[in-house]
Amino acid sequence: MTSQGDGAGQPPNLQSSLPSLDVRKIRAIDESPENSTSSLPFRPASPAVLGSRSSTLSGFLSRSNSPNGRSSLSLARFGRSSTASPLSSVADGNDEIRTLIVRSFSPVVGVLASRETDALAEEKGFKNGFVSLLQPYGERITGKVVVRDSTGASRSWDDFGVKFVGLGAAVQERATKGSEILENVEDLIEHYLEQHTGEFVAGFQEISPYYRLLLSRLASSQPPSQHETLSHPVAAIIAISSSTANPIETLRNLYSQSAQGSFASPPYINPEYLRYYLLVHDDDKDDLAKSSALFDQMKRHFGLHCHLLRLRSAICAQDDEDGEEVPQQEWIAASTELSKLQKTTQLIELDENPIATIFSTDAANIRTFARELVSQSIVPHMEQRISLWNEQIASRRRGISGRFMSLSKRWGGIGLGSSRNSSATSLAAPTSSSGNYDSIQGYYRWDTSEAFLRKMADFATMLRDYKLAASTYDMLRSDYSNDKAWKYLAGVNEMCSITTLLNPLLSSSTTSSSGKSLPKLETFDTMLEAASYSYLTRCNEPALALRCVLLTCELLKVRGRLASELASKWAIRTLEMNLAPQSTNTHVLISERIASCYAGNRPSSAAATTAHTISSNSYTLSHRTRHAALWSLTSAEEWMKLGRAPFAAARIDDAQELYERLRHHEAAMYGFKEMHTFMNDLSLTVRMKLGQARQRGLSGTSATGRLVEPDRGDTPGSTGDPLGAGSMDEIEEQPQVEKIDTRPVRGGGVYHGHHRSLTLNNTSVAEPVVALGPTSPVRTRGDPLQADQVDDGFE
Amino acid sequence: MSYYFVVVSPTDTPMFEYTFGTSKAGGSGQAHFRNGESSRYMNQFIIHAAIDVAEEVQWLSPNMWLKVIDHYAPTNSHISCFMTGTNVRFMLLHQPGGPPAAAGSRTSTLSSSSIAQNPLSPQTDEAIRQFMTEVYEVWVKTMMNPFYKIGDEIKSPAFRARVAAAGRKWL
Repeated sequence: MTSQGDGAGQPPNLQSSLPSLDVRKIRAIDESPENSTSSLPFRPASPAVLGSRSSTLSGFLSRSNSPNGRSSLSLARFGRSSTASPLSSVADGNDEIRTLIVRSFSPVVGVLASRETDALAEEKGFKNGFVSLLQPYGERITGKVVVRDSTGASRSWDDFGVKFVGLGAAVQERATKGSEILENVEDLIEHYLEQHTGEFVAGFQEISPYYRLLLSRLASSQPPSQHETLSHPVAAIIAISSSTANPIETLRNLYSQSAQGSFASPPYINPEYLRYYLLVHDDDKDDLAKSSALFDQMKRHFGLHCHLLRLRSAICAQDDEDGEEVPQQEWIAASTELSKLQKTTQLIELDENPIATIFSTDAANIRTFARELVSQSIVPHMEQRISLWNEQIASRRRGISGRFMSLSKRWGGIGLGSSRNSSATSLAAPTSSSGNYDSIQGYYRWDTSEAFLRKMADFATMLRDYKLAASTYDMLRSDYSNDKAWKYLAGVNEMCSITTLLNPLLSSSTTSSSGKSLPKLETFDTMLEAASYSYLTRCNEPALALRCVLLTCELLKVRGRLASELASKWAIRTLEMNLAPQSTNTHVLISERIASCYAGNRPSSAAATTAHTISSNSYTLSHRTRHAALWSLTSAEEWMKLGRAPFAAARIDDAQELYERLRHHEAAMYGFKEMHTFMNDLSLTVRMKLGQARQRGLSGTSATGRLVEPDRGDTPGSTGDPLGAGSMDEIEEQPQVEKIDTRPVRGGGVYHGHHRSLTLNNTSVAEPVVALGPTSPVRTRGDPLQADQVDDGFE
Repeated sequence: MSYYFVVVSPTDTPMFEYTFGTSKAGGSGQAHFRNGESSRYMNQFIIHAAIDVAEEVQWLSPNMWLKVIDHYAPTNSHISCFMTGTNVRFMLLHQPGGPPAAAGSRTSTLSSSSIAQNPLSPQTDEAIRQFMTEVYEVWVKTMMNPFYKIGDEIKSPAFRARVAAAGRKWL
């Protein structure tokens, strides 16, 4: 497969990520955590987290491109590559999450295509209309995009993206039940878990790709709504093709459709979005000269916002050497993805390739188009709007006169005529009355000042000017609460906390007392409280509440210990609020994150020196290691209840490692008997389950009650040798993959440091007929966990 | 209200454990933990996790009585701590909301200000403090016992009886 001729900033394509996937796979299976943690790359951001928050945050400013590589499972039938999944390889670092969150706020561009254009797309194999041809290429704009923010400073981003949606989808409201979204996300995660059993197990303090999936789907699953304009279109592309009969006529038609006709915006969506005209020239069929002439005409009519896109209308065959695969879409709603996956499985059954291919020239052209669109039209347009609204509306609100105005607004229509639904509210009118909120229908009209402010703030978020965004959202908070616009209030609280935390210039309140410091943690608490309460109780939108809390928690986590405690408190509250019911994947993913919050995001201390420093200081540094271990074990238990043994094994190892950090780790492990019993039993169950899975995988037959052990020839001396009672020896000479841990035997007695060997490398795990009940901590028969070479022990 | 009381040594090992319920206001004295069977180990985990916080908070206050230091949300458990001069910690996990009302009369005698219902009220605080002080006195006597090796598990039945009595009296 030829490489795609893209700019330098292109993330690794499918091919380059394949090898990385394999490496990860082997890692997860064969290495013990001891080795795997030592082979973890020493993340440049992480030592900063240990102490100085400022260096971490400045690291965010000079962010390098952190690609979300794609991975793919190879299906046997399709040689080249196949169903790609959105789960990239297990990656770590909170930078990833931050990038994810930042990128989830990208401008929405509506696409309105003429019939011929849609037909052209369909010929190429894209059945959902022209927009589906554009969609995958908008999410990562090649090269750097330069954005000037409100203070005039310009920054360049190389992971900018836009979301192309059909204009109908963008402006027409869909009624989705709040809990439906959560269910869809849950189903999606379940589906991927099923598909990739045992892979993608996140190591210690790595972020599970399933969690990233959860976050991204939560963020992108919202239908267009009144209360947040993030999903309202920023621009619309009106596309005609060179085979359209009356091009100018059609363009006018489409425009009027978008302005007044069937695609007109509802009253809360600002209809003054940028119109961009696209002429799609069919290379194979039509005449380039004619199209160019038409294009010139368009340019004269419509100005700069036009583009001529050259595509070939022939369908690209699977193994055409000019072709390349269409990249997988990153930001799709959960329900859409589910239906896509269904279709994919159907296609696979029919022996067709589910991945579309198009010619590389086409792909290059589309990418160029996207880049031009963004850097020359959309970003300048947005910047202009922001500065316009800023001047006209926001600056009136700030300052003394602004406060008088808001006061007078609050004291109501005493002197000011309240103009409910007044369509005459002009931009320049300084006193927008308090009746702007249409409480009957539950929205603000698009031309009220609050709506403009919100839109401005959202534009600022999309252009990554977080300071402006945060201050505007703050302004709006009091407005909305006066108007009792609950959903809006919740949305604005949510966005305020997110943008404040995304702002990299602020340091934590404990280090700085100047005006520049991060607002106190209590404000985040209040905001989260208000947002989640409004969402849940008043608006019945659990998905939004969950999204709000999770995104804020992720951003709080990196801001120091107090903040991460707050984050964990809120994450626990989401579990209490029953946003993720007890035995769902969402629930356990959140539990894992809670553990990570408590663990403090320090890199796993493989280096012995760091471990010593940390543990010897454990009386002076305040830490929540034990809490983290508790939550790790809780999540391990939950994983086991869901039947996912590899994840449980990884979490148990995490807990072990966390306990190791303590100065008195023997007490943690052995002192409290019930704890110890529980941990042992849990690990035993996990190993049994893993052993089953492995046997099934190896022998291909369903595991029977007895040992199938001789699959592996490399287990000398183990067959039929139940370790005699009291035999403590580490079976060092076994050359198996199982990494015997080499740490000295600790604490004597029956138990010794075998906990490392829990990970799923072990081969011939016996499947005992009788499961050990959770009783009798005293094992008279040697160490069963060590002796997993034992075939028929345990009876 | 159900209680789980642990004496934790300076090396984090439990020296004494005792589970009981409230005897006030018609309580039976038996512990009824909300999470049932799993409370056997969960309580230990929760107390152990609270040691984290105890280590941190101990430097902030010159008192031995540290009040409620931690809260475990999923089971609505609160942990209070009393720290002695030798870094031995008496930790009490209390969980309000005991068994569902078996008899209607029982619940009606529980007023909202009673200890059983409100774990964070000053009355509860005071009651637990008195309990801890009594246990502390018994504990000092145990320490002075020449046959008792410091750091060992406290096996004396007299100690257990005294702790139980204190529990009945205050809690």
